[in-house]
Amino acid sequence: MTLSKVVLYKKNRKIKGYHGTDLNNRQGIVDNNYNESKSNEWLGDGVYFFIEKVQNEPVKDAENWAITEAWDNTKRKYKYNEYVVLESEIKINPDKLLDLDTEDGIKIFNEVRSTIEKSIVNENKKIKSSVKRTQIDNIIFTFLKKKSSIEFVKSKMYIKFENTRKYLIESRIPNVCILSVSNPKKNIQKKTINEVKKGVINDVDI
Amino acid sequence: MLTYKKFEKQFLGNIASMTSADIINELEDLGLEFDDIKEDKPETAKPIVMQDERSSYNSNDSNIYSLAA
Repeated sequence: MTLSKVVLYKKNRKIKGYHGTDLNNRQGIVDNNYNESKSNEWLGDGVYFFIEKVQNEPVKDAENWAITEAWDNTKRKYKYNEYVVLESEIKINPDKLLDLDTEDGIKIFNEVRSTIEKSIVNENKKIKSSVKRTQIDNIIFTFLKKKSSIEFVKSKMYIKFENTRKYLIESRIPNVCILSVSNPKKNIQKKTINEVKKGVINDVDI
Repeated sequence: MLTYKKFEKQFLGNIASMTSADIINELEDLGLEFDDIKEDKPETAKPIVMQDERSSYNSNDSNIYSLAA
């Protein structure tokens, strides 16, 4: 068992998470705490943090994410040119944590997916072919959170940053470890939110 | 840590009164889109008369005579 796992499973322990975003969002978050994002492809609705090193340090992952997210592919321009990485202390209640790096975590997810599968079969339906695999997972997570006390979902996963997105490099092998946090006002103390990095996006980056 | 046993109790308790249709409706509210599966019916065999009408060996087909000539 790694050190981070020991820390995560102790009662109400705090861990540090890193969140990359538009610099213009910084003051609102520092003053009012985070808003849950309606994620379309990750671990259900919640605030997202990079928490452990997989390929890079989590602070670097958060920075890369802020830069990647700045690009609006439809309008072919940046939505913002300055980004910030915020560090926050997250108070984790282990009884509300779904950890997909554990056997029980995987079993829980599969139980919910099986229940959904049975309903689809019973109702003689099929998911529209236009729905992406990642969207289906995301909806399963949101459903699972609604039907249980789960407020934290942790998983190693693969996400595409600048180049992997630009050059369409798909993969199933994880490159980051993320934590989705519901109910941020309860689980993240506002006073622990600190800026740890900021930067300017160069127009030739992407 | 949340174990499978603890979760199972919560989850099954929360969905106990839900039918399959309720679950599908809730998933649709969350943005999942479905198509109905159409019943697969075996293709109806063509009547023999129709096959005969399309046959090139029909004695009324003038092309047969012109080719033979």
